Order: sequence, then structure tokens, then C-alpha cells
Amino acid sequence: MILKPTPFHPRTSVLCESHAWRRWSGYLAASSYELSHEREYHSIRNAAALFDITPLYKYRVQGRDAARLLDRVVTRNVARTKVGDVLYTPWCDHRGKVLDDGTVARLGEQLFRLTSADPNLRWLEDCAHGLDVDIDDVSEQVAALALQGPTARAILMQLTDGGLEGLKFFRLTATSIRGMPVEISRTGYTGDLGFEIWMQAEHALAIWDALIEVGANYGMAPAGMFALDVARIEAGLMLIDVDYVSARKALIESQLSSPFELDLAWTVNTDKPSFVGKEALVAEQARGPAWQFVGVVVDWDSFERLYLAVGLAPRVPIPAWRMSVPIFSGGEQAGYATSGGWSPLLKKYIALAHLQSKWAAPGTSLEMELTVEHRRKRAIVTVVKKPFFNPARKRT
Amino acid sequence: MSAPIVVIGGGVDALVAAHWLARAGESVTMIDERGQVPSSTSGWIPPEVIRRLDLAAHGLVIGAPDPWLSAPLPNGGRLDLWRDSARTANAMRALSAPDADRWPAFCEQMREHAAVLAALYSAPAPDVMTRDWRELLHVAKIALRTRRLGRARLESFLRLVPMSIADLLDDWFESDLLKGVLGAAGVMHLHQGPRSGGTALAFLHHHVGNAPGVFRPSHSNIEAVLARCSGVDRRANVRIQQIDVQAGRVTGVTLVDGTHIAATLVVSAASPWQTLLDWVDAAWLEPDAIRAIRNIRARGVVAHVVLTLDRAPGFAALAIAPSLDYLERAYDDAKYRRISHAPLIEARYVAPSGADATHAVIVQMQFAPYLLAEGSWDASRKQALVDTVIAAVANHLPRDAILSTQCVSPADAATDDGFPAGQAHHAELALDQFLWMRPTPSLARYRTMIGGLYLCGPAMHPGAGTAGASGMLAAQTVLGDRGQQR
Repeated sequence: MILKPTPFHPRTSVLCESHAWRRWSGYLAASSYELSHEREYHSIRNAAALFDITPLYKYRVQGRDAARLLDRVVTRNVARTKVGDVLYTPWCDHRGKVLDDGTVARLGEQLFRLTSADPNLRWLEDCAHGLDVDIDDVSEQVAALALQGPTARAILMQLTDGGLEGLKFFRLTATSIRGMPVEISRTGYTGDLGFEIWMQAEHALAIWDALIEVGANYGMAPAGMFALDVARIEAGLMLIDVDYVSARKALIESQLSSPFELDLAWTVNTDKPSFVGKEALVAEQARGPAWQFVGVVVDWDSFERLYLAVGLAPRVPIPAWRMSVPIFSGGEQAGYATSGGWSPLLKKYIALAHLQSKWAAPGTSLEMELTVEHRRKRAIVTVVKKPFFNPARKRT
Repeated sequence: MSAPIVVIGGGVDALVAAHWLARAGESVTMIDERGQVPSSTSGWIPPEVIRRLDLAAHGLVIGAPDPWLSAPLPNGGRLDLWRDSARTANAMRALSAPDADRWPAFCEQMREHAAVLAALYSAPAPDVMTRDWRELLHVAKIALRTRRLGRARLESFLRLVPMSIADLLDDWFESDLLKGVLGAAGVMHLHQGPRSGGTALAFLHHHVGNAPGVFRPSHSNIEAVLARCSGVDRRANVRIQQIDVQAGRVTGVTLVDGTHIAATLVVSAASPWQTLLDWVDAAWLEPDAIRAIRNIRARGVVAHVVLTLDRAPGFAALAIAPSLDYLERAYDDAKYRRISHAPLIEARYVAPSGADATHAVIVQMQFAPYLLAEGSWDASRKQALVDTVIAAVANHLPRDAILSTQCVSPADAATDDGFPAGQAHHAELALDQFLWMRPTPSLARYRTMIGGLYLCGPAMHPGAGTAGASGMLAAQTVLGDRGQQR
């Protein structure tokens, strides 16, 4: 097999009726388990959905200078975290352009786990010059599941030996599921109440079975990448290679993005004495970013009219799309959308878009290109603040 | 008055940079980790350095031993190579009449080719990727000048550059001994044998500035002369703790004893590795740059043995390099991290001078790799190496004349002199670490990624084998940058 099975594959492969597999960091990942992803999506928002997120890259960073190394790499302040904190953060090259984004979990005073979308071992090792720190790629040893949705906490509380009740958003606890040690973080990629469960690969199947067994009573369903894609767009969360190009892969200047251009200004801590890209970021902060990453909502009436004109009922994109779609302000191109689709929950056609700063203010009215019966049309869109969907249960 | 410039490092390039800057009116503090300055320095001194620093008036002496090299003949006796090429040709005739006939032409062609390099060595390496019109003009001038050599000469030069020294010498000569002693000049300090590509260029590089027909570096007292000159506050025998950086700019140097010396400009003649990776907090360096510096190829392959004698040895310079095959086999040992059992030996006589009334022979022994496949550079290993050397020169240097021996292994050179992996050249003189790629493309212009921190020394263009050229060019770069700021 060219693509690797994850430790959950013996279970997920039996459940995957659609046989819709895709490639994720060299692993097989289910696009959807059923023929359509719609029930899986509704599980996320109304019950709970179980995702195999093992393909994430995971690095264990350990040693006296572990926090110093991470502070050298990422834009947020790692030294200030406490054990059990998890940070979402991007990291940049020396030009202040985003290389990758992921999470830093503080597992101990001198022990961290970094997750990322792309391989980063070499980068971490280069940054670690002169520091007393060990970096291990534990991507294969650590299996991971995401349990996302309103009933996620209830399911996990049936299975764990405490620690979940008071677990705050972006905090992590070490506990166990049926005697098997796990770390559970209140994190996710859906913008909902949810958790990620980190375990040794050898316990993967037993923990999956336990979750399936208990989850059955809570409407839980295994879910794939199609459902996740809709949820993450609703949550306004960007995806590498889709919404931005890593500085490692960008071929030309205009493909690069800074954290400011990705709506991640809040992650850039310029008080830190130094980190990779700081100088460039301080300069950009002073002059303001040229681009901004925003949400846009398609105006239903203008959308409907385009279809009515050719004698069709409006067709909304049910699986989310991932491509570059031009956005205009009159005769000028204001930017482009990179992900979009129909939000079944909001009953809105939404998209994530890069706009030049002068058009990026919420409320700005623009036009997005659409193809209606083979012809290029434009629908009116309005710039909105992200996220599109932000339930109170995510944090409480 | 501006803050002083700190020049770091021993060695001729640091001294030249320091005095060059002092002559331009800068206040210069030099931090020399060494205790004393060596009485003899090898390598070509650019005429501009001699002129500008008035070295002749201060007592510069450039040695010109005649014969410049002696080599043992297979059946006893020696082949002497003289500064006069006709005389050398005569001496060669017994060995090979065709070689003797070709010698003058070979010397002339090497002189011509070395002149092409010499022109490149008096300016920073041309930046071939530039878009700056002044630099483009400079590159174009070089291209034009090179083109003017004429088709035949240019072809011959371009063909030589990537060649192995063995192939070049096989083109010209038939005598194994002659090819051996000339080939040795192509692999000096290299972790390469005479059949490795690029060694012909190394041969030519070391010929720059030499008299025609002389294929060994000259030795001079330049460091001793400069150390005597006034104008620079030289602090010897002190050790550096770190180069201080704030907001991406140097602010000074902190010594191991805690002394802080403030400076807005620091010029380091230490290796890029030591300067940037050991002394600068890596947080100020781009991770890509760290990798590039770590990957500068530097593998020490030379051990030195100093023999003190009760009498003169009867030669000025002696090479044991009987054939190209001999050299290649000596290198084979190094390839597998073994000390050559039949090494290339270059022995040089140092006559008693002043208070130091003993005769000495300094032996350069190659190949002695820094990293050994088995064991480490301990005392017994060094004693065995000394024994190998003494046995190799036994026919030319009676054992009872030796008063004492001292061995400096590549490991010692790494510890005592800060040579990366014991490599005296800091960056091996290979095709991919040459001109605008020396030591890496981004460091080739003496500036570093740290504002106000400059590099000179053997790792910098034109680098190892030249005495003071990179010091001069770095100083000129500093002064140019300073001029623009004012």
C-alpha cells in the first residue's frame, strides 16, 4: 500500500461504505463514511462526530531549553504558558511569512508537543542550534482522534477518570480511558464544543471501540474530511495549501502570506526578544498588512436571480469547494475566495476570502464570480467578521 | 568619535584588517585569542597590502629559498627544483628529457593562468547574480578581460578549472616524481586526492603570487611585522565568550573574564562556524543560514610535527610525494578515517633566529583526518604519527640530530586554534566553496546577517593560501559601508 493506514484503519476501513479515501500526509483518510457527508456534518453540530486525525505531524520537544526553542520558532509566547495550556499558533520564516500553523501543548515544565500540517523536523532542528533540547518526531507513535459536537463532553465523561468537567477551552489534561493513558485537549477544527484525544498508537483500537460503544447512545458518528471542511469554514478556520501557501512552497512573492494577512495578528507577540521573522513582522505591523483574510456571505437574492435568469432553481455547493474564486469591486479585482460552500446550519452560502485591505472592512459590498450554466456571472457578497458560527458551548 | 571597531581572531587577515582600518582613522581593538604571533606566515601577500601598510619599511621579509623544493629520487639523491627554470629543467633531465623540455612552457602557462586568478583576488568576488549596475559593470569588466586572453588561453584556463591535478599533470609530464611533488600542491589541506575534480584549481590558487616555476607558498614575517606596528590596541591571550547582539545589530564583544568591549562594528577572522554559531546567539540567525553554515565543508587532514635539531638539516624544503598514486593512496586512508601509513610529507627548515637558537624543521603531514574510524587523537596516536614522520625523513635527517618532537594533531588545531574540524583553511578550497560561493553564497561579501558583523580570514574570498587579502577586502567593505552611513 503506497499510503499508510492509521492505527484506526482496521475499524475505519470497515465503516467506510463510500470507499471515498483521500491522501493526508501520506496516510489514508476517509472523505466521508457514508455516500454523502451530510449526516456526518449534522453529527458535528447536533450530536458528536469522531475524526481520525492521526495524520497530523506531531513533535515531542523536551529539555531545559524546550520553551526557548518553541519561542524562537512560533509567533506566540510559549514561555508564559502553564502546564496544561495549549496554544494555536502560526510560525514564519525570516521574512515573516507563514510556514505552517498548529498547536503547542505544554505537557510538562520542559515537555511540549507541537502539531503541524507539514513536516517540520528539519526546521525545528535548525532553529535548535545551541539549545539544550531533544526533538522527536512522534507522528507514528501518537495516534489522535477528535471528538467534536455538543454531546462530546458527555461521551468522554462516561469513559474517563475525571479531569474533563472543568477543562477549559484550549486546556489539556492527562487522564485515562478504560485504564489506557491519554491526553485530552479541549481543542478542535470545527469551532464547536470538542476535544482531541492523544494516545499511544497501540491503544488506538481499544480506545476507538470504547468511544463507538459509548457514543452510540449520544448520536455519535464517525466523520470524514467533507463534513469537517464545512464545519471549519463555518468556524472561519484556515487550511494550509487551500487558504494559504506555506512559505516553503510558495514559488513567487505574491503567494506568501504573513500572519497579519491571515487574520492572525492576535498570535504575533512582538514583545518577545526575538523569534524567526520578528523584524519583518514588526515592520509590517507598523505599516499595516496589504491583505486581510475575511468571511464573505453571498447575497441570496442576487444569487437566486442568476439562476432564475437561465430558468433554474438556485444550486448551492453542498460539499464545500476549495479553489481560487475572484472577487471584484466594480471593474477592479478586490481579492479572491479560497474556500466556500453552503452552511446547512446557517442556511447561507459562505466563503473565506483574501481581500486587499481597502475592501476588507465588514459590511463592504463586493461581487464574487460564479459559474452558472457554463457562463461566468457575479453575485453580490458582503464582508463579515469571522467566524460565521460561534456557539457559546465552544467555550463554556 | 565613533565607537571602536573590534577585530577578532589571530592570524594574518585579522592583523591586516585591524591595521587597514586603523590607517583609515578608525579606533581599533584587536582581540587575539593566541598568546604570541608566529614568526612565519605562509601565503601570497597582495602588493596593495604591502604598499598601504608600508610593510617593506617595517621590515617585511619574504623568504625565497633556492632550491624551493627538494625531493628524494627513487635511487638515492635528490631532485632539486630551483627558482631558475632553466636550472630546474637541467636537474630534471636525468629523470626525463621530455619533462625537462616541457618545464619552461608549463611554468609559463601556469603563470598566465594564475594571473587570471590574481586579478580576481584583489577585489571582492564578483557577484554573478547581481542586479546592481555597478556590480554588473565589475562582472562585465572581468568577463571582458578574461575574454581578451584569446581563445586558446581561455579554453585552456576554463578546461583547467574543474580538472583534477592528476589529469593536468598527466597532460604535461611523464615523471612520477615530478608529478608527485607538483600534485602535492593541488591537495594541500584538502580532503581530496590528486584524482579529485577541482584540485587543478587548488594548485593554481596556491600558485597565485608566486614566482614563475615555484609551486610552493612563500613564507614571510608579516604577522610579526604587523604585531610590532602601532595604531591598534591588540589584546592577546584573551578568550571570547560571545558577540553581543541587540535587535539584529552587534553591540560589542564579551570576553570569558566578563569584560565587555562595546563596538558597533566587529570584524571576525575566526571561522564562520565559530563566529556565527559559537559566539552569536542562534536566535539572531535565520534557521536556513544556520544550516548553510553548518554545511560549510571543513575537514582537517593535516598534522604538524615540529622537530628541533642540533644542526641544520641540509635542505630548505623537502617533499616526500614520489608519485600521484602515492598521494592518492595516502588520501585513501583519510577517506576511511585512517591516518595515512605512507603520508605526503612537506618538511621546511626554520633557521635559528634571535633568542631562539635551535634549528627546527616543521613537517606538514597529510593525510591525518580529524575524525578517526577507531579511537581518538590520544598521546600514543600522536607518538605513532611522529614515528612515521621521522622514519619517512630518516634518509635526510639523521635521527641523532633530533633534540625534541612536538605533534599538533587536527584535534589540537581544532581546540587551540578554533579550526573547524581541525581544518586550517576553515572552508575547504573546493569548486563549490570558491569565489562568490566562498564560504557560502550569502556570506561571500564579508557582511553577515547580523548588522555590523563582518567576516574575514581563510574561509573568505580569496581565502586560504593568501595572506591578508580577505582582511584587506573586509576592511574595505567596512569602510565603504561606514562611508554610506555618514
